[in-house]
Amino acid sequence: MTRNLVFILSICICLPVGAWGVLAPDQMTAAALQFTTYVMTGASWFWLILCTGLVILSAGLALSPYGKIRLGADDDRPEFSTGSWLAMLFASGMGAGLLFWGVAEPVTHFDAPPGMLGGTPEAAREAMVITNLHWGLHAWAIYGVCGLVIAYFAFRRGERSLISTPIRAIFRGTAAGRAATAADVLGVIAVVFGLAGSLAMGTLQVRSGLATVFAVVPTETVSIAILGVLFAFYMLSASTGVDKGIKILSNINISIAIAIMLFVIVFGPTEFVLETFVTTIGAYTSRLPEMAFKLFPYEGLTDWSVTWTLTYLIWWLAWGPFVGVFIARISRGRTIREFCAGVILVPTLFSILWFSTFGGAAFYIELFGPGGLSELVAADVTDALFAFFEYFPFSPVLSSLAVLLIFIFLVTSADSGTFVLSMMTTNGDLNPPIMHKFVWGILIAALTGATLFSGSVEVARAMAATGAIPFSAILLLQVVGLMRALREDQTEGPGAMKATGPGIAAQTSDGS
Amino acid sequence: MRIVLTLLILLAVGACSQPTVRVGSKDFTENKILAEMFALLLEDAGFRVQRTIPAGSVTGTFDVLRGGTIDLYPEYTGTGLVLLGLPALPDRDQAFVVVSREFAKVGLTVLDRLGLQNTYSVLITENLTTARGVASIADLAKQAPDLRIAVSDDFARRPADGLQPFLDHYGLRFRDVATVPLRDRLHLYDMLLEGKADVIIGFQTDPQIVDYQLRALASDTPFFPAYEAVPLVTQEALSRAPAIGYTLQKLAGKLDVQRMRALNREVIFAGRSPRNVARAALVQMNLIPGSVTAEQPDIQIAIDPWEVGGPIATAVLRAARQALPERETAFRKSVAPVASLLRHEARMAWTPSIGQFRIVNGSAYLYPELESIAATGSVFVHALARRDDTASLAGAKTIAGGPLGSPSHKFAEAVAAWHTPAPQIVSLPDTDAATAAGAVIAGKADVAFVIASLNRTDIAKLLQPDAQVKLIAADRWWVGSARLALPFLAKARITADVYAATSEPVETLAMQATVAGPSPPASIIGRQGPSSYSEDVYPVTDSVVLAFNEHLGTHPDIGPHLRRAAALTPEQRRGVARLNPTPGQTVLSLAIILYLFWCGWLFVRPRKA
Repeated sequence: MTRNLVFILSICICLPVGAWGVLAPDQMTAAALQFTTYVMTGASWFWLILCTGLVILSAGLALSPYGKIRLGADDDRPEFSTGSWLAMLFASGMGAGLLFWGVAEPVTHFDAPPGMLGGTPEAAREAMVITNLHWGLHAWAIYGVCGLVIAYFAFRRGERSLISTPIRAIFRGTAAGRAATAADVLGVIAVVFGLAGSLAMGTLQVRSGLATVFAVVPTETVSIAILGVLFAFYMLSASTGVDKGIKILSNINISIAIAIMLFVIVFGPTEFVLETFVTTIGAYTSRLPEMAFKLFPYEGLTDWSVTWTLTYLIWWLAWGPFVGVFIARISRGRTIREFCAGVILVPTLFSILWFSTFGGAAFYIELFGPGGLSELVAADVTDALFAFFEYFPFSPVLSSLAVLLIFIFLVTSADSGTFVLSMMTTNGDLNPPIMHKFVWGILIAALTGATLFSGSVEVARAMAATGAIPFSAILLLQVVGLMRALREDQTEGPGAMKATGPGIAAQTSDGS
Repeated sequence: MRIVLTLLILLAVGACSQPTVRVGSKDFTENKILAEMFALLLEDAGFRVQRTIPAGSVTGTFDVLRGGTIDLYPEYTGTGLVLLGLPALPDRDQAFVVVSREFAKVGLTVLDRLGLQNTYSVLITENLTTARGVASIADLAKQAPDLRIAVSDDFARRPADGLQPFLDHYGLRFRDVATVPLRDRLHLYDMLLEGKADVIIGFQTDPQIVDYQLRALASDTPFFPAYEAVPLVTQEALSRAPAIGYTLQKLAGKLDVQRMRALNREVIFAGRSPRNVARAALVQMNLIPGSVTAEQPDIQIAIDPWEVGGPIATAVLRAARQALPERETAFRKSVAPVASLLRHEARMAWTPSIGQFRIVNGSAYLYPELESIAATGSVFVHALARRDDTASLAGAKTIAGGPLGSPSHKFAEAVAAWHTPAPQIVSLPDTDAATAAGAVIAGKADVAFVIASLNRTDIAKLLQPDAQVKLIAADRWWVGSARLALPFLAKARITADVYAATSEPVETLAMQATVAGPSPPASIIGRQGPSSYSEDVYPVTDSVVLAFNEHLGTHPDIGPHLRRAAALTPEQRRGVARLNPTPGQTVLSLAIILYLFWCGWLFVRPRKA
């Protein structure tokens, strides 16, 4: 009943907006970007404090006695090995951006840090801190909280793994149903647009990668061909279930990523990269309290904050609903503490290493080598990545691997997205039927194709970013629901957790 | 995963076993190019190369080599003799044999000669020959008390083959001796051309000797020894990595003065980096793999084809290359440079400022996608009419400009809008002055416009005394409202001496020539993200803009009607009109705060009984 309403409402909203984007892309882009820009510039304080708040919240949960609560029955054990779990987290939560911006972002900040002189050793240090602020704890804390609110209710309380579940508990009477429906609809819309936009952009990334590495002329036909191959791959992967398709692809993905990274470390300035890594851990840790609250009201650099920090935060929020639900799905049987460490700390450490490697090697080229990367980054990020690879031996192999990696990132994102949409519209079925995945898979592909045909990348960007703004309101309510539930857990004792069986009582009382 | 790791470990082990070779050079262009050639050859042979280019002055570099900080650098046999304290030997082969033998005694090995001989040249301008009859060093000796000589400080310090022994050898006594540091050695040529020195000592491979048509003075009693370029390697490095020897052997006998001059010219005049020049030369000689022409330049600057090679264009390219070392920067010929830039074919465009505007009904609207990086002097409107025609621009029924989108076409559009009855506009296939003249002569247009820097080759060639076309005034219409609508134009005069065909000054219009780049995208949301892709082109980075302007030397500021790059815009204080400039955002913020309070209340609200 509720599902039908959610489905119908989502379609009723998605289709006209999608049609608007295809028929009048410029108008739609302008409207969406204007809206996003206004909300982001006008309330920049809110976005930063919201995301920093999520970092503090997850740290608090992990360190408090709640950290011992298991997401599942006490005798539940994790479904996936820790290695595969981390690989899947990373593959679904990060996209090809990691590869491109690995070189581009540190170099850009190094060249022009906000309110500082560029090109200096201090600028290099600052650039690494800023980059990791964008890709580190904040990103993963958003995903982590999005996942935790779902996982707690689904596995601890045995309720449906829906966006609305934590919210339903807050309200009384008919308000609960209405709020739940609204939350689910907004969730589906955010996922559909976030995913279609990201897939369209991902397709173009693969295309420009092919153009740079293999000199394939970038035409619309190529885009559609890539989308076709992508569609075949992610439907194949989706039809096999989480424990096969996504797991295998994620493992391949992370292996390639680590291989490229090790290659750059070994053949690049090894010592410099490792020194950068250690320095950055220190600089990031000590500067985090300052940076996590840093806006630039006195310098008049609010625009910089919006262009960089807030753009990232809005992206993580846009991906939050589906990465969150997916992370929840694969995290059954872990304690909250384990969850926070695995979802937030480990990926952050990996990010620091990743950016120290690519950014560090790029700094080395800028500081002690020939330089000139920053101008390439400004002209074209894709070119900059492959120009960076040119400095290494076997650069054609490296570049081909990079294109493959971009493609697999795309497949895993599309796969987990389809999976999550099917879950959301089948009342939170943890293994949704294949038919549902096909319906959503085809719908997403159609939307992506339409976006590609509209010929405007901006449409994709605008769609993806705009969905995040209403979702942030939902996320706040979800957090309230989770905190209430946790509080009740503690005050009322084991009685409240009947749904998960009798074994829990002993553990929680031991823990508290 | 495991396979990948194993492979990586194997590769790493392989990489570590390659010995490192440290290549150095002296601090002047030719030596840097040669050192880069050595380094590139060694890299191609699988060595890891550590470059110290430049490592120091002439004797400094030798000391660095002896000190063991570098393994090899390019040396010259004659200089080797001096370093060893031996007398100068004018015979090439003898010098090589002696130098090889003597260096071997101190643990250094001289490898095979590169085929290049670069001796010192005593240089004067042709002027001195005609005015004072100086044709040899013997002639010079007679005139010396009236003349000034300029040399590099390095030459002045050389004990055996330097300035003092040179003067003593020929009995020269100059009125004045000036020295410049070795790194600024090329400044000697400026001093010579500007008349601040009458005689200079240069290198035989300096491209300026040919370019400025300087005269090298000969002598029947040779003073300078043979200076043949050779790789000088420590024996320690050779015993550690014997392959250095036969790797550098590939270059033996491959170079000569002409080729070296050409390579020096690439660095000195075209501003390319020594490494890029060395790489291109090695590829051309088939010594390392690669392609000579297929390489797509990293950074392209769109420019009118006829401006390429002119002084302004050369200065622009040189400044761009110096601002972007290690990136191949090249011109991209385009009759409508701004259109090329907007199509993202080029990173920058060199354009007359009218190119940065869209002309609608005689008014100019700046393209929002453009910003100006630098102004580089002026370009002039050349209005061509038939020589026998007495008509003026005001009476023209048809006017011609270049292809649609080219600056001269835009100028024709502006002219047409401000004349009644409006003349008809003819689009020519290119921006060549000969095409414009052809159209005028054939009667296809009464007046044809060419917007070009003064004395551009195609116009200079056209406006010879026997020309069938002439320049006519092009400024009369630019008054009153037209002036306000097209404020970037300025009155200018082409004086009679500029072109052979003109006998009296021609009043016309001029405008700034500018280097334009893309402006920041309108959207404030960045292009980055986990899976974000954007085709937005970002502006040329601040550091490049500043470096470009610095290397361009003295040049005017960008005109007030153009959009300046952020790096060139002085910091502006934002004027505050009201204490709360954005009431809408206040409402938004208040709504968010209310929402947060509501969430807080939902959290503390007691559970339903």
